Amino acid sequence: MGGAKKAEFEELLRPHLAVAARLAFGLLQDRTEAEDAVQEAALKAWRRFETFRGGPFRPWFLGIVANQCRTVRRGRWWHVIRLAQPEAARPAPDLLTRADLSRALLELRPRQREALLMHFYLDLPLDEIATALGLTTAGVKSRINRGLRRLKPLLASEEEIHEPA
Amino acid sequence: MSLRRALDEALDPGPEFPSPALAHRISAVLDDPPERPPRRTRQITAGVAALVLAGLVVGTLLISRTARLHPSNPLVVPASSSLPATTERPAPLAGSAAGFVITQALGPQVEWVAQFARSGVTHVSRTLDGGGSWTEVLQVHGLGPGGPMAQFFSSDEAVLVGQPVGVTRRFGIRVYATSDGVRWSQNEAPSPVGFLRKAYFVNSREGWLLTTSR
Repeated sequence: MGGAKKAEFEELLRPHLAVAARLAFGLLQDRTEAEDAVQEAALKAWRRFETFRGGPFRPWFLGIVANQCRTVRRGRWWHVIRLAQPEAARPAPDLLTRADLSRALLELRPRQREALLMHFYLDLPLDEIATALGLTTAGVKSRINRGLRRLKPLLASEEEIHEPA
Repeated sequence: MSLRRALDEALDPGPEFPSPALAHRISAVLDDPPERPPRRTRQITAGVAALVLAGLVVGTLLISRTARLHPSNPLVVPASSSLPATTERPAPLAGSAAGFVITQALGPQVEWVAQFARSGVTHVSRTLDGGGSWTEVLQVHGLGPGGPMAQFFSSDEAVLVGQPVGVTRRFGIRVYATSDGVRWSQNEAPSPVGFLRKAYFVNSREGWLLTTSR
């Protein structure tokens, strides 16, 4: 593919790199792995760009990123739960919640984790999540709700969880 | 706490994420993408690789058996504990009691062989001319049976990991590494490290040791 096509691809890609990296970090919980996954996903997207039929670029690319992260996780025989540096003013129960939440996310089914993170961590609308994951909107809702049910015990106030309409 | 806030706190990637270099890295990769052979070619390559590997295993077993049948084979290595122990030898599989062997071909010319003899002597040999001549580049004594592992990364870079065994206990895990194929460093993992179960190195300097307490 030529230089003009590459410029067009990069023009489309650039605005979504940050959200793609955030998604990859949420799924992998490792900065270096997340950036590597985004880079690999960009290369895969570039190779498939000829088959990209227009339409919204972001969900198409985020779908590739999510698949790449799944591949990375499948290849791992370990995982690391990273805790932020403890702050003196922060009460201990909060730290526990953060660690537990990170761990609980890693234990969700891949589609539940992806849908839940896209909705609550990236604030993506349900129809865009559905496009990215190749699901119906109802399928996305159902996965989010199942994921939420597993996470609820970790959250102090259940009523503040906004389940998708 | 709302889930959004909890996720923001639990999954905070820190400052400067993604790094500003990511866009440049991606641009560079798009300019010069790694070769990806067609699917059919990859299948054929995998098939050929499997056949070559099977051939190597069978060949190694045959050679090992031949060496056992000829105890006067001149390749029996005299004991030595000095590093490096580089000696010219015509073939890598020496001695009358081959324990187990790890071989790795890194191209048509380069191949490594690590032989863990039942006598407790470990030999590492290398050919750079497709097996025409072999050089024994390392000889180590006293590594316990079943534990030693070897990884070869290029014609010059390799790692050997093992754990000496005493009558009642194991000692520290030893890591032998070379980056020029001739000079080897010997390092010992801090004790107590437990029993060596698995070693995985990404190059001659960085790696992982999996140990258990018993």
